[in-house]
Amino acid sequence: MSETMTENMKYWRSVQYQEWTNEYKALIKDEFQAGDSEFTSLQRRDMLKLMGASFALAGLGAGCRRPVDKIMPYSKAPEGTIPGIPKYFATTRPSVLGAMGLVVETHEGRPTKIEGNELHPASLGAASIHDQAAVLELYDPDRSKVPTKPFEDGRIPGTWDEWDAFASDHFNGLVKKQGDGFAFVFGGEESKTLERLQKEILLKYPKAVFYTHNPILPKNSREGAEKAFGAGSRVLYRFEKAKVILSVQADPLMNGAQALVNARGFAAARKIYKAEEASGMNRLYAVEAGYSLTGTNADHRLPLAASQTPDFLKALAHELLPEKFAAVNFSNMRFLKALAKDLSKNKGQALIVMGENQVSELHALVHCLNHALDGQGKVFEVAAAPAVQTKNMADLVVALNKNQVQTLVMMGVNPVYSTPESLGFKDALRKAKILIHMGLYEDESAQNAHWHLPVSHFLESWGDAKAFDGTASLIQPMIAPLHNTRSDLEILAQIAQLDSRKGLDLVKASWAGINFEQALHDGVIPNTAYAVSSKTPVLPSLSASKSSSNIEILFNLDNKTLDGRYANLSWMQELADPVTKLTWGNAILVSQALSKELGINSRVTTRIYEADVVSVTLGSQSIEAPAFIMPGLADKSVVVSLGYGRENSGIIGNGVGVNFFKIMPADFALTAQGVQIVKTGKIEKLASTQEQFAMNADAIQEVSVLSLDNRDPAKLRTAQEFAAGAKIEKHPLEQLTDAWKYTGNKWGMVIDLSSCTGCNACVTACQSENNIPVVGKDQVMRSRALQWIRVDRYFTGDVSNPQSIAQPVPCMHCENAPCEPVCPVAATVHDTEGLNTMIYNRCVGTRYCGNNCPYKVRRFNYLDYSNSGNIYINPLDKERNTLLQMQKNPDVTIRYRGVMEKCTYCTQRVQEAKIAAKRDQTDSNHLPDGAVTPACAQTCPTKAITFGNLNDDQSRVSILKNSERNYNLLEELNTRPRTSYLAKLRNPNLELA
Amino acid sequence: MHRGDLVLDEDLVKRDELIRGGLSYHDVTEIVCKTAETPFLETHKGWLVGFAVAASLATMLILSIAYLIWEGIGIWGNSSPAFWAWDIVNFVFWVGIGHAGTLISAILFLFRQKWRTSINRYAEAMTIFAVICALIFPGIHVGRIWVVYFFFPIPNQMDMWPNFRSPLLWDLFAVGTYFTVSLLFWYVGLVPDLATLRDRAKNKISKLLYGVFSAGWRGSMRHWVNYERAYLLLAALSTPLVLSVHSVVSFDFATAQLPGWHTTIFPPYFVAGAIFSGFAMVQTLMLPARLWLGLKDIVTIKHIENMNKIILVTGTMVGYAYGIEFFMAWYSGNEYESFTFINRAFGPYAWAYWTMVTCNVITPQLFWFKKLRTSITVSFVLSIFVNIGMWFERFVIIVTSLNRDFLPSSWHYFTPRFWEPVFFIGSFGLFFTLFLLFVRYLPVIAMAEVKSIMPHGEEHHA
Amino acid sequence: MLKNYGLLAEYETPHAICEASEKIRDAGYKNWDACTPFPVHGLDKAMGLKASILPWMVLVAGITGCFLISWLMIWVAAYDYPLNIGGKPTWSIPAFVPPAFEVTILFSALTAVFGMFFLNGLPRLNHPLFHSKRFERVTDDKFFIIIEAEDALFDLEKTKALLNETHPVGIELLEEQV
Repeated sequence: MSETMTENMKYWRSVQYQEWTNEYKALIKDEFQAGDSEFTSLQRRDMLKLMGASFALAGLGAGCRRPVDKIMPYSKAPEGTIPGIPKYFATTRPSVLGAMGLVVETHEGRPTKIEGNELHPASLGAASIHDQAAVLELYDPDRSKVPTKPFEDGRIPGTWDEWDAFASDHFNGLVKKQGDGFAFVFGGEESKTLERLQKEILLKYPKAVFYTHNPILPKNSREGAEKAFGAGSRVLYRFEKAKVILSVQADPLMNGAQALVNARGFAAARKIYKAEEASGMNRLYAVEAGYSLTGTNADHRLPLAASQTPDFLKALAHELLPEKFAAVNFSNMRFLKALAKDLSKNKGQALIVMGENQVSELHALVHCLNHALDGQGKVFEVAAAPAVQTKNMADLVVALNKNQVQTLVMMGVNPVYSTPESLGFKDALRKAKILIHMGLYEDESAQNAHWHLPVSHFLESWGDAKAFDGTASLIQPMIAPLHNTRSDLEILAQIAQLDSRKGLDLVKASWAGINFEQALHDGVIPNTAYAVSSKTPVLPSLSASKSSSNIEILFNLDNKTLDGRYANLSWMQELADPVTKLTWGNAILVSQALSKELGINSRVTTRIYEADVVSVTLGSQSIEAPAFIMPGLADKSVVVSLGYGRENSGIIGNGVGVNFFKIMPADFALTAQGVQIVKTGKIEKLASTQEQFAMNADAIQEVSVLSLDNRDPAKLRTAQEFAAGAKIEKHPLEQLTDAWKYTGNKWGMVIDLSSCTGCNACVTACQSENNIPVVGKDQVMRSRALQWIRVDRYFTGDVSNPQSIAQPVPCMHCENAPCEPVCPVAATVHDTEGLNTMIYNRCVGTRYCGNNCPYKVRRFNYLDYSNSGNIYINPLDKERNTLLQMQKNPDVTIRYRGVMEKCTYCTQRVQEAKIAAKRDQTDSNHLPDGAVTPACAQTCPTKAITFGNLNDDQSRVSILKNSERNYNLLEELNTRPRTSYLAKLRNPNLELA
Repeated sequence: MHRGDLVLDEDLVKRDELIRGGLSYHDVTEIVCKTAETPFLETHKGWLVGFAVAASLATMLILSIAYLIWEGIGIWGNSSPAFWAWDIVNFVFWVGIGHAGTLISAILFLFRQKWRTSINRYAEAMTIFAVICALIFPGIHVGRIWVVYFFFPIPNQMDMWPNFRSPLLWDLFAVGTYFTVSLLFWYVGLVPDLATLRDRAKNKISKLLYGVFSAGWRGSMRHWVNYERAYLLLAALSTPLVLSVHSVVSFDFATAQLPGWHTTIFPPYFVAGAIFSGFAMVQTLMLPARLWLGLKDIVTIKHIENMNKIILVTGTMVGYAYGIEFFMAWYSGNEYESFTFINRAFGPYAWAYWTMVTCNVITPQLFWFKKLRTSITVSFVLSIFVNIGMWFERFVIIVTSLNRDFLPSSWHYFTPRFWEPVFFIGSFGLFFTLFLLFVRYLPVIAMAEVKSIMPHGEEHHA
Repeated sequence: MLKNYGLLAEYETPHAICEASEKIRDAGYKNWDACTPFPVHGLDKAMGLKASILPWMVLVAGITGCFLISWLMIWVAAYDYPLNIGGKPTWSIPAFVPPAFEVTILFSALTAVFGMFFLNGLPRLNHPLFHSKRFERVTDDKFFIIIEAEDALFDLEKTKALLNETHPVGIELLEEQV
C-alpha cells in the first residue's frame, strides 16, 4: 500500500479527496489478508473484518428502493454465525467520569445499536444518550482516516510507515535526552492499561511530564471529597436509599459519573401504584441558578444565584448544626427552615448533593452535613480511590512559555478548542517544536500538529476502563478498524518502545491472572471496585463568601455535546435539550426579569423562536450569542452551555452554536461575576421543538389568554392527594360497533410520568434502533423532525419559578385509531395483536393520517432524508453514506421520501421474539412477559416505560394499567390508546405548599 | 312550460329583457359565431396578449410540477401538524368554483330559469376547467405520485384494494364523476352549435374538426326528441351530483376528529360556499368577456343582477354558517372546540379569518342596493372580493384548525415557502389558457337554446 | 349510379313547419323527418312521434352501477381482504354510501349520453341531406321537411304536390349513391 501512496504523493494536493477514498478502498481490500490474523483464538474478528469490509463497500441500500449495490457473500461462513441473527457483545465506553458498561448489538459484524450492560454498576442495563450515540461516532464519515501532517499552508495525508520512520528516530532522540522537554496531555480517563503504559513511558523518559485536560472532569467534587475525607477519597451516592434529597446547583440525574444510577435510585422511590404506598415516596429539593433536569423533577425548587449559594449552605449548616456554625442571614428563611426540618427529620435518609460550579470547600462542607445527617454508609459512601496528582493546563501553558516543552503529545483531548481564550494556550502551543495529536477527529488541536494520528474508536480497539466506583471492565473491538487507524494504547506502546504493541497483548498483560474470556463475556472484572473507607469528614476552612449583586454567568456542560466532543453527532445536535427544547445550537439563557431589565425581547413570533442577539462580555473577552428567555432562572444569573461553536468538528458540528470557552475564566471556573450583557439589535432564529409553547413568558400568557389552562395532557397529582384517594377523571365511552377481539398477544405500554425524568435516552434509543434520519436545523424549524418518540415538556405555575413536567409521547396504537380509516389505500391498519402498523411501500403519502392523529405522533418524509437528502451527504464523496449505512438496523426498513412513518412498538423486536418462540416450539401467540422490550423501554434509566401483553393479567404492564394513576391521553376521544400514562406524583412539603 | 314552446304575448316583455335588440335567429348565429370564425391572423390583440401570459404561467406550473416530483413536497411549507396547506386549499377552492357551471346548467334549467341560456355555456366551460385545475392538486400533493394508482380499485399482485372508508376515496369518486358528467353535459349542449359552425365553416380543417365533434348532427326532430330527453336526464342527474360533490369534499374534514373540522354543518355550508364562489367566478369571467366579445345584447344587466342576487343569498348563508360554528363551539362545551374557534378569530391566524369575513360576509351585503347590484363595475370588483374571501375560507378551515390542535406541544405556525404561490398562480395560468381557447374557438353562447326561447312570431323575422 | 333519396322542403318559421308536418302525418307518411335549428315544441306531436325510451335505459344503468360498486366495496372490505381498520366493522355501510351514490350517477349519465347517440344512430358523418346546399342553414335559421323515397306512399309527383300545399319556400329532390 505504501508504494501506491508515495507515488501518489505529488497528486494529492490537487485531488486529495479522491486519494483518501482510494486509500480507504485499498485499506478495505487489504483487510482480507490482514497480517494480524494470528489471533487464532478469535475467529470472530476475522469474520468481522470480512463483513465489516464487504458491507463498507456494499452498503445496505435496504428500503423502499431495492439496493443497487452488490453484497459480498461469505466465502467461508464464520463459525457460530447465523446470518440475520444479531449477536450481542459486552464492551465498555471509557470516560473521565467513569466507564460505562455496554452491550453492543452487531449484525453480521456491524455494531448497530448500543445498550446498557445490566452487570455493570454504572449502567444497570441503561445507556445514556452519549453511550448510544457512540455507534454513530464510530461510523461518522468525518472521522480522520489517515495520519496527516502539515504541507505548505494546509495538511496532507501521510502514512503510518512515514510516522513509524519519524517516530523511531524522534523518540530515540528523546530517550537519549531522558525525555527532557517531552510532555503529554491526557484526558484523565482511568484505565489500568493506560496507567501501566504511562509508567512504562516514565521509565523510558524519566523527565517526561504528564498534564491532564478535560472540561468534563468533576474537579471540584473530587477535590471536595479529598478535602473532607483525605487524598483519593471519592463520594458515591445511593439515591435509592434517600427519602429527602437536596440538590444544590447540581444536576445529579442528568450529568456526572452516577447519573444513570442516581436516576434509577431516585425513580425507584417514586413508583407509587397504590394510595397506601404514597407515604414511602421520596422528596427532592433543588436549589439552583439555572434550570436543570434535576430541577424539573424537584418537588420544591428555589432559584438561587450561584454567588448566594455559600450563604445558603452556611445558613443551612447553622440550622442543622447550630453548635458548629454561626447563624447566617438568608433571603428565604421559610424555605430554608422547612428544608432543614425535613432533612433532620429524615436522618440517615437525607442526602445533599453539591454542584460542580461551587468551590471544593463547599463540597467538603456538604459532605460534613451529610455525615451529620447520619448518611454515611447509608445514602452515601466514601470510596478509597488511588490519589492522582496531575498538572493542569495552566501549568502546561507556563511550561510552554518557558520553552520547557519541545515535544508535546495530545491524546484524545482538544485543548485548542476547549480552553478559555484568556488562558492563552493557543499561542503558547506554538512554542512546542514537535506537536503530536492523537484523536478520532482532525479537530482544532490537530490543525497545528506536526503529526495527527487517527486513533481507533473504542468499538474498534482493545482496552480497559474503570467505572465511577472503580469497577474495571474490558473494552473489546466489535469490528476491525474501519479506517487506517491504530488504538491510542498501541501508539503509546510505540512511544514507550515496548516490543509487543498489539492492543490485545497490552490489555492481557495488564490483566494477567483473571478469567479473560469470562470478563469479556460479562463486561465487568469482578472484585475491582474501590474499597469503602469509613473515614469521617473534616470541616474545611470556609472563606468568607462575597455575594455580589451584579449579573453572574454559569458555564454548564451541554446536555448533548458535553464539552463539544459530541458536536459532530447529528443525533445529539437534533435531540431537543430536555429543558430548553433547543436543537442545533446553544443560547444564553436569561430570566424573564433580567430580559425586561436588559430590554431583551426574544420571543416566539407567530413563526418561530426569534432570539435577540446579545454581546456577552466577561473580563477582557467578549462574544455574541442569542438570548433565550427561560423561566425559573435566578433573576441575576445567566446560563450558557459549553460545547458548541466548533470549527473543525466535521460538517455536522462546524459553526453550530456559540463557543463559550472563549469567554470562560482562565481557571475554568464554572461561574463568574460581573458579566456585561448588551443587546446588539441582531436577531437569530433558534430551533426549539416546542416553538408555539416555548418556555417563554409571552407564549405562556398567550396560551392562558386562549383559555388553555384546563388542557392537561400530563396529569399531575400530589402524593398527599393520591394517598387521600384522588381519582384521575375517566371518561367511560361506549363503542357503537362491536370492538375487535384480540386473542393471543395484545401489546400495550404504560409510561410512568412519575419515574420519567425527561432525560431523552428513549429518543436516541429509538433513533438508532429504527434508522431514523436527522433532518437538520432548517427542517426542525419547519417542524419536520422525524424522531418517533418525543418528550413533551409542560410548565405549570408562575413564570418566575414554574414546575415542569416531561411527557414522552410515542404512538398510542389506538384500538380505534383515527389515522387508519382516513387512509385511502389502507397503508396503515391494525394487525392481529393490536399494533397500529404502517406499510411504507403501500403509502402514497396523502398525509391525511397525520392530520387526523390527535397526538400528532406521525412523521412524514417531506424530503429524501435517508438517502440523497441525508445531511451528511457530500457530493464529492460517495463513501460517506456507505459508512453511515453500516449503522443501519437491517431489521428496519429505510423509509424513502414521501412516506409516513411512526413508532411501531419496535415491531421487528416483536417478530424476532415470536420467531424465536416458534424456533423453541413454544407458543408464539402467548409470549412470556418481558420477551419483547422496545428500544425506548429497554434503555430507560428509570424503567419508566413498561411494555407487554395486556391479555396476560400477570404481566407488569397489565398490573400497571390497573393502577389508580393510570390514564389515557385524550381519553375523551375514545381512541382507546394501547399506550397509557401513570399520572405524575409530586411530593410537596406541606409546610411550603 | 317547456323549452322552445311558442311564445305567449305576456311573455314577450320578460323575454325582451333577456334578448334585447329584436334579433333574428340568423343574427344570433352571426354574433355567436363571429369570434370562432375570425381567421387566426385577425385574432384580437387582447386575446393574443392574454393567451401569451396565461400560457406561460401554465408552462410555469408544469415545470414546477416536474421539480416538485423530482425534489419532493418538502419544497412546500407543509409541516407537522399542518400536513395539508395550500395544496388542499387550492383543491377545495377550485372545486368550489367548479360548482356554478353545472348548477346554472342543471338546477336553473330544471327550474325553467330561461335567463340561464345566455350564460350556461360559459359556466359549464368554467366548471370543467376549474375541475381540471382542482384535480391537479390532490394529484401532485401526495408524497409518492408514481404509486397514485393505488387509489383505484384495480386488481394487483399485492391483492390489495383501496380503503373505501376513506373520505379521500369518496373524493376520488365524487370529483371524478363530477368531472365526467360535467364534460358530457357540456359536450351534449355543444353538439348542435358545433353543427352550426360545421355548416358555416370556410376552411377544410375547421370543417373537419367541427364535423367530427358535431357527430353528424342534422337537427332531425327524431333526434331532438332523444336529445332533449338526454339533456333533461343529465340535468336531473347533475343536480344531486353537484350538491353531493362539495358535500363529499366537506367530508374530508367533517369526518376527521380535528376540532374545527369535525362539524355536521359542513356539507350544506360547503355547498353554499361553492355556489357562492362559483357564481362570483362566473361574474369575474363573464363581465369582461361580455365587453370584448360584444355580447351585451345577449348577456344583459338582468342576468348580472340575477347572479348578484344569488351571490348575496349564498354569501349570507355562508356568513350564517360562520356564526353557527361559533355558537356550536360555545354550546358544545367542548374546550378543544371552543379553543379552536377563539384561536381562529384571535389567534396567530386572525388576519386570515377577518380577511375571510370581510370578503365573504360584509362586502356582498352591498348587493342589497339595486343600484350597486346592477352596476357592472361594482359587480366585477365584488366578485373579485368573493374569490379572495373564498380562498381564505378554505385556508382558515384547513390551516388554522391544523396548526393548533389537541396537544400544545406539537403546535407549529405554518408559513408557505416560495413554491406555494408559484403553483397557485400557475393553476390560474392553466385555467385561463383553457378558457381563452374556449372563447376563441367554441360558441360561447348556446345558440340553439337561445333561439329556442326567442320570440318566434313573424314580426321578428328579418 | 344515383337513385332518389327523397324530397326536401324548406320553411321559414316554426309555425309553418308545424302545420306542414301535421298535413304529412295525416297523409300517412312514415319515412319522413323534420330538421330544425332548435327543438321546436309541439313539432313532435305534429309529427306523431312517440316518447323516447331513453329514461328506462338510464334507470337500468343507474341501478346496475349502484349494485356493482356496492358489491365491490362490501366484497373487498368484508370478504376478499378483511382488515381491521381503526376498529371499524368490515361492513361499514355508512361509509360505502357516497361511492355508491356517485357511481350510480356516473353510470346513468354515461348511458344518457351514449344511449342518446345510439338511439339517434349518431355519429354519422355523411348523410344524403348534407349534399343539399340550402340544407346547410338547418343549423342556423331554416326549417326543413324531408320525405324519403323509401316510404311506401312516396310518389315523386303526388308527394311534391302534397308538399306544395304546405307553402314551403322551396322544394328540392335529393339523390344518393348506390
